[in-house]
Amino acid sequence: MDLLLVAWRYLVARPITLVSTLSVTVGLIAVVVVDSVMNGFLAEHRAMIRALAPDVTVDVSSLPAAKARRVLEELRASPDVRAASPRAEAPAIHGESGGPALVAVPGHGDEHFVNLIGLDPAEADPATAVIDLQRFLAHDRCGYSERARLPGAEPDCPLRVERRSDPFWFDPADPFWRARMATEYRHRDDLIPIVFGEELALGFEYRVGTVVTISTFGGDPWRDARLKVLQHQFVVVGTFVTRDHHFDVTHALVPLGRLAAFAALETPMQEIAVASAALDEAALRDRLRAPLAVAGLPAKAVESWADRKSLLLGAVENERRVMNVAMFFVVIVATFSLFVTLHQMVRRKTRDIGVLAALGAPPLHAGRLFMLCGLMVTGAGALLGFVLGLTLAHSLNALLAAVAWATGWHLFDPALFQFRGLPIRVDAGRIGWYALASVVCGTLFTLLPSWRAARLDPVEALRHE
Amino acid sequence: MSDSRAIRVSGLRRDFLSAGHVLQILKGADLEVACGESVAIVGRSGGGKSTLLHLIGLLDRPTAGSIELEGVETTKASRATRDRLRRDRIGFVFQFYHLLAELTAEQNVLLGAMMNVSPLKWLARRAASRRAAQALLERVGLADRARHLPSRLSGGERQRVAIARALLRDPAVLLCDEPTGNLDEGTSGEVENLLIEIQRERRAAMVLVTHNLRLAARLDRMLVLEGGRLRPVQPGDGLRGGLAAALQ
Repeated sequence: MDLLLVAWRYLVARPITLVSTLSVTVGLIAVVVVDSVMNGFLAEHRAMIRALAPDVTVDVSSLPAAKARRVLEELRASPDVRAASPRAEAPAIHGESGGPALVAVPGHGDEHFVNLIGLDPAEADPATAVIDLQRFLAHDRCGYSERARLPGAEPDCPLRVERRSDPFWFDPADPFWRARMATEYRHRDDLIPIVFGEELALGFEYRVGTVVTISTFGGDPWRDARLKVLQHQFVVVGTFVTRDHHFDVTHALVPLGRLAAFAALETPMQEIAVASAALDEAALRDRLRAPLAVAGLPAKAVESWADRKSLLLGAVENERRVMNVAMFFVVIVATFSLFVTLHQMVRRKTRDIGVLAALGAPPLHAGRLFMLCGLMVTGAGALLGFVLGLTLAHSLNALLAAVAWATGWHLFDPALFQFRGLPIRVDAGRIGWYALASVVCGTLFTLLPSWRAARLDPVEALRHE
Repeated sequence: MSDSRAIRVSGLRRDFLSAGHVLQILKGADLEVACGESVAIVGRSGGGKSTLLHLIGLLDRPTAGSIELEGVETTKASRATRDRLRRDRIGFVFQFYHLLAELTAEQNVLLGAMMNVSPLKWLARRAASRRAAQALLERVGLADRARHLPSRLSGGERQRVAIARALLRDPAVLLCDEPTGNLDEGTSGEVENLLIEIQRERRAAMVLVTHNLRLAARLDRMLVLEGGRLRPVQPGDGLRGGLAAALQ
C-alpha cells in the first residue's frame, strides 16, 4: 500500500511527470487517428474496387460446356453457396451508330474499349442473383442534367429509366422507348440491350435509347489464322454506378445469351459467379477448392474477389501498417521521456529509498516503487490516449467541417477519392493492443532506473546528500 | 543475561574497502541493552557510531561478530527475516528527520504500517492505523499538524513526526542517530525530553548516538566508542574532562 501512496505522491508533486503522461497520450491519439483513417481508407477501397465482383469466381473456361454446367449445378446445390450464376466476358469497341468504323480509326481502340460482361437472366431476380444489381443501377439519375453546369447541358434526364426488375428491359413497341429512339431504329427488335457504366455513358453522351455499334472479334485466336470482326447494334437501356471509376468507364452489361450469340463464344459460360451463404469470401474459396479440384479445376481457378484485387488491397494494407509503425515511434519517443524523468527521480529520492529500507522495506521494494511510477504514468497516458483518440476519431469529420467553416481551409477533399468524407473506421481491439504496447514500452523504459533504485545500498542511500 | 535482554552485540567487526585499503571501523564491539534501558554512545566523528546503529538496525551486515535482537541471532538470518524484524521490532530516528517530503505528517507516520500490506488489507486496517497515528501525533504535540507537509513544519516538529513514525509499530528497539544534532538548543531540549519520556513509557530498549553529552548523561548508561570498541565511561572521562576532549 505504501508503494501506491508514495508513487502517487511522487508523481503528483512533479509536473514533469504530467508531461510524460501527456506525451504518451498525444502519441497514442496520433496512432488511434492514423489507424482509424487508414482503416477507413482500406474499407472504402475494398468497397470501391469490389464493384460488381461476386464473393468468389470459378473460372470454368478450361472445361467443356457440359462439365461447366455440372459444376454450376453442384455449386448451386452446395449449402455454403447462396447463389451461383454463369458469366462471360468479351472485349469490344463501342461507338455511336452512324459514326466511323472504329476499328479502322487509329487510337480509337483505347478510348472506345469496353469489356462486355454477360449476365445470366437469374441476376434479375433478387432471390437467385449473385449480386444485388438493382443497388448499382442508376434508374433515377438524370445524367447530363446533373452536370447542368457544363456548357450545352441538356435540360432533360437522358439516363433516367423506369425501375424494373429486369435490368435489360427493352420493348421497342413501348411508348417509353418510342419516345427515346431515333425514327430509323423504332421497331428494330434485333437490338441487343446494353447497360453502360454511367461515367462511360456520360463521356460519350450516350442517353437511354441511343443505338451504339459494338465490334468484337470472333473465332479462336489460337486456331484460326484470321479472326473475324463481328459487329452488332446495341441499344442503351440504362446505366450503372459502382464506386470504381475505372470499372465504370470500361465495362458494360449485356444478357449472357445475347453476348454468347453476338461474340460467337464457344463456351457461353467462362466463369461462375458465386455468392456465399454465410462464410466470408476467403473461407468460401477455401471450402470450394477441394470439391472443384475433383472436377478438374486447379486451385487458382477458384478466387475470391479480394484475391483478384490483392495487389491494390495489399498496397493499402501495407501503407496502413507502415503508417502505424511510424506513428508508434511517436509513442516510443514519448515513453523515452519517462526514462529521463524516472532516472532523475531516483537520483533525487535516493535518501527516501534508505528511509523505506529503515522502515522494513525489502531490497526490491524501491525498484517496485519506480516501476509503479512508470506504470502509472504510461497507464494513465495510454488510457487517456485510448479514450481521447477514439473520441477524436469518431468526431474527426465534424471537427474538419468546423475548421473548414471557421477558417475556409479544407484539410481533406473527399471528392478526390470519391468519398463522402474522411473515411474513419475504428478498430477498438487493435487500438487496445496499441495502448497495451505503449504501456509495455513505458515499462521497459522504467526498468533501468528501477533496477538502479533496487540495487542501492540502504546505508549509502541514507547518507546520500 | 535474563530474557529481558533486547540487544546483544558481541565481537562486532565491520571492515570497509577504501581505495584498495581495508578500513576496520569496528574491531570487536560488545554491547548488551535490556528492555526499557537507554544507552548513549558517544565518540569521535567517523568513529563508527552510525555504522554500529546501522548494523544493530539490520540495514547492514557485519564482517564478523553477532547481533541478537530479543534473543534472535540476526547476522545469519534470511533477508526476509531481517526485513520483518526491522519493520516490526526496530524504530529509527535520524539526525535529519528523513521524512518523505511529498507525504503529510500523518502519512509519514503511517508509512511503516502500510509497508508490505496489500490495498485490500490496508482498507481493513486503515481506521485502526490512523487512530494509532493520530494518538502518536497527539503524544508528540502535533495533532493539529497531521495534514501538513514536512516543508510546513519546523525542524523540531519534523523530528517529532520522525519519533512518532519510529514508534508506530511499537518497536522493542529504538535506534536514534544524533536526534537533536540538527536542532537549536531550546528545541533540542524539548525533543530530548519527549524522546526520553516516550522511551520510558514504552519500555523500549534505546541506543542513542550523540555528541550531546548533556543528553547522553540523562540516559541510563553512557558508552564511548573508541578504537572500534565500546567501553563504559570511566572516572577520568568527566564531562568537563577527557571525554569532552575525546569528542572533539
